[in-house]
This record gives sequence, C-alpha cells and structure tokens, in this order.
Amino acid sequence: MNHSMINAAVSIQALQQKLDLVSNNIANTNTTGYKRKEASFQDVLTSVRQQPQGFAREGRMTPLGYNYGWGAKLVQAELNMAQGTLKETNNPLDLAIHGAGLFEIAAVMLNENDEPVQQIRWTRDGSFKLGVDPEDPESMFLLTKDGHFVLNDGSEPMRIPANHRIQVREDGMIMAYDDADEFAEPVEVGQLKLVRAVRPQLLEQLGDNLYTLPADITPEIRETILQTVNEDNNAIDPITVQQGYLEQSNVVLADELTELSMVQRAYQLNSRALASADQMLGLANSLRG
Amino acid sequence: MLRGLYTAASGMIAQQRRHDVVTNNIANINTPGFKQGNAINRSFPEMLIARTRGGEHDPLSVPIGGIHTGVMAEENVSLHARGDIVETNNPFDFAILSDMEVPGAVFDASGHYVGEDGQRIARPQAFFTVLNAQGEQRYSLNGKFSVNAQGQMIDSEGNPVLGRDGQPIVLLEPGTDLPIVNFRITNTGLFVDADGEPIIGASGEPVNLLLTRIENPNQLVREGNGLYRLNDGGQARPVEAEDRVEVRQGFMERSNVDAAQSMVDMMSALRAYEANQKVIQFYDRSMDKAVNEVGRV
Repeated sequence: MNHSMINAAVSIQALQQKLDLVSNNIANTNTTGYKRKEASFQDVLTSVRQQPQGFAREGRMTPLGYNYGWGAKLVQAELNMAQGTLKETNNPLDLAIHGAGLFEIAAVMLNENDEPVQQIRWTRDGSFKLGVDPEDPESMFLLTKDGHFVLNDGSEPMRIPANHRIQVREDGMIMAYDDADEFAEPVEVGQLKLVRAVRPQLLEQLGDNLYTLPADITPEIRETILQTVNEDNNAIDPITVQQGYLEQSNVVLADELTELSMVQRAYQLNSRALASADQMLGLANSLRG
Repeated sequence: MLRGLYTAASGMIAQQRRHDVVTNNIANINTPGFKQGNAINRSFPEMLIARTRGGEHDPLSVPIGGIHTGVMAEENVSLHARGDIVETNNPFDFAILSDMEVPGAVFDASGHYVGEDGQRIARPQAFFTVLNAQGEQRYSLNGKFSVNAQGQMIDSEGNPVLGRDGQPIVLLEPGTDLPIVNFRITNTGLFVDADGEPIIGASGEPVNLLLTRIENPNQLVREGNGLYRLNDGGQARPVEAEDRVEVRQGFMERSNVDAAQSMVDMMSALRAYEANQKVIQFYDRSMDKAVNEVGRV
C-alpha cells in the first residue's frame, strides 16, 4: 500500500465514527434530557524521513527531514451540556432541571454473582414514577422511568407517603399533600439530590439516559467533578427544578445536518484520494504491458 | 545506459510523495488548527555531459551541456496562514488571532516577505504551549481543551496546557481545592472570574495562558497530534503585550486546507505520475526495439 492509501483509509475510518456520532445525535432529537455529543479531529502521528547533513541548499525553509502525515483521527468526544428547551406536561411527577445539574440515582444492577447491587448513576431525564415498597405499604418509592431509585440528599432512595400528591420546590425540596384531607399541613418528604456537572468532559454516557464516571474516579475527587448542590454554592448559575415540565433534547437538527453534510463531503474527498491512490498503484502495476 | 529511464522513475516517486502530502491535507480538512502542507520538489544536482570520441578532427571530448537526472521530494512546508475562526460556544475552545509584524516587512498572504536583498522573512506566529508526555514543551494551534479529574487543563491528547509561570494550568482554587467553575479568558489569555477579577493560581500569580511567539514558524517540525517541535536554535519567546495577539474563548480555528486547491493538486500529481509512467514505457519500447528488432534479418 502506498502512503496516500493508508492516509485516506485512516481518515475515512475517523469520518465514519463522526458520522455515527452525528446520526446518534439525530436519532435522539426527541429523547428527554439528551445531551448532544461532540467530537473533533486531530492529525495522527507524523513520521520524519531523515535527510543527510549537507542536503540543505540555500533557500530551504524548513529544518532537515521530510514530514509525512498519516491522516486524521477522531478525538475528544464530549457532552455538550447546553440547556434543552422545557416542555410542559402537567404531570406532577415530571421534573426538569434548569442549569448544568443532574439527578443522582441508584441503579439496581446485577453483579457477577447475579446479586442485585445498587450503583450510583446520574441522569438528566426527570420523567419519574412512583413504585410500591413491598415492605412498607404506607410509602412509595420515587423511581426513574426505568425503575431506578431517585436519591435524596442523604443518598437514600426517596420515599413518598402513599396517597399524597407531591409538590417539588425550585430547590428540589419535595412536599407531600394528603389527598384525603384538603386542609392538612404539607409534609416535608426530602430534598432531591442534585449535582452540578463541573467537569462534564469526564461524564460517560451509559445509554438509557444514564451517566457514570470513569472507574478511577474515587468518591473523594468526585465532588470536584460533580459538586453536590446546596444553598451555599447555588448562587451563581443556579440549578433549579421545575415540576410539570420535561427537558427536551438539546440537539438542534439544523446544526446536525450541517455537520452531516460537512462529514459527507470530507468523506467524498477522501474516497477520491483513495481512488486516485489506487489509480497510481494501477499505473505502477501496468508499467510493463 | 538510458539516463531518462531513471529520471522518469524518480519523477514517479516524487509525484507519489506530492500525492501523499495532498492526501494528508484532505484527511485533515476538519482538524482544528491544522496547517496545510506543501510538497516541494528539487531536481537532482546538475551534471555536465560531454561527447567523447567524436569525429576524426574533433578534440577528445566535446562538452554538450548540463543535465539534471531526476527529481526528489525535498521538503514539506506548512502554510502558516490563519484558518477560519468559527464560534463553538464551548468555554474550553480557544483560538489565537495574531497579526504580528516585523519592522520593514510587508507580508503576503502566505506570511512571507522577500526583501530587496533577497532575504526572506516569515511572519512570526503565536502558539499555545503544552507539555508532552516526556515533559518537553511543544507548540499547538488546536485550542480545543478540556479538564481532567485533577483539574488540569489538557489538550485533546491529554497533554497539560502551560501557563505563563511555566506550570500546567490547574483550575482548582489554591488552598481549598474547590473547582473553578466560572471563568472567562481575556484577550491576553488572563483567566478572570465572573466579576472580572483575575484568578490566582497555586504559585500566587494570576493564571495566564502561555502563548509563545515563534519567530520563524517554518522552523517548526510537525510531530503529529497537533503538536510542533522547535529544534535547538529556533527563536521563541512568550508573547508580549505589543505583539498584537488575541485569544478568543468559545472559538476555534479551522484547518486552513483549501479543498478545491487540494483536488487540483491531487489530480495534477496523479497525471504527472502517469506521464512519467508513460515515459518509462516509451523507453521500454525503444529498448525492446534495440534488443529484438535491430539486427534481425
């Protein structure tokens, strides 16, 4: 293979990955709380063909050596945490976050021995539901739509008293009103655990609208990446919760289609380069008849 | 010996190199901060040929003239013209706008000036400064940065970005180690908080991006991964206030590769390769004649 061929093939692969990313964004135009993923390109390692001392002639602009590039690769896929638009649903269990925040939830997963374990995850999707607690008929769990526990500020699953309707304040405090007794005082149920995505670059997307952090992030430094929101640190760029609303995806279709056509053109250019390199190999092969 | 056979073969190889460089340009048409490469060919050294054993009254050798017996790829020069600056709205994207001047020089679009005495001056350029894995300084124009778990500002390969004090930029408040969330960057690369007050780093100095002025960017050696190396003897110094350099936050510099020009260059490299191939075939055919037909009865 000649250099041009390797070069074009490497780049086509990178463009294909970018295309996958763009199409994933487009597919999630209507996913609640979806954050668009972005990635940029980088040239891959360059090799230098050495040239002997004394090769340089007057008028040469660069230092000795002949540089070869080997194409481009895709780097730095990261989340764009820009706010999505809020859509009114009038469902009291639909919550939307305003600001760069995430709900902390405990996902129930099976470990290698098929035993259920709880793992901390984060989500932006506030379409919650209530689930019965088999041990306590007096209270209900607040669950995500996939059945994971929504956590309170003590990192315990949030419980709502049965037969109560809830009201969620802007700061994430949940109050419950008794359905049976109109005049009863509301009960403070608990504070939703909200975290501020200080370093969204480190979040990993898991699918099902869940985010996690890389395994090497210890709970100690987690706070510098996802800061727990409390009254003291919520003055600048406040993170608030809005009840009865859902956050729409922040994908802008026009932007994605622009990206799509840009990637497609780059792909075409590279495949032309590949075809041209192929033609050169053909010429070399047909040197003799 | 047929000299031209080897000349044409060297032409094929040189065109192949040119094609490789154009392909790499096309490959990096969406790489932020990429600078288009330009393959420059050089002819083999000229040699003098002479006719020996001419006619009866000729002297022993009659000079004919000079001849070049081939061509080779000499250098791959990056075109250090600025690419388009586009807005990304990502606070970790930075672009450098520089318009540096050298007294007495008026630069053309490619950033060169040839003086009356034939002296060529390249326009100085400003670069971001990062540390590679070996702890050596490298220069970059790809300002798409992010932050790692330790709060260090890194480029897309994970190399720490350097501040003016020569240390990696760490976006943690000294003492408390709380992450610095809201920061803006001024035109000069100074980090300021939401109120416009400079952010003080661990060394007690304000956090400031280290921009390096490279006197002659052609002296930079491309290492790949968006990094450039400056060999010993290259002139570099931190950018000063009077250097007319600005940093823009939320913007990035696009690759300066011209797609249409690349297409033309690629086609011309391919066709020149083909032409050289044809010349080889012609030589082959004349050899064929010489070997198989001359002297046939």
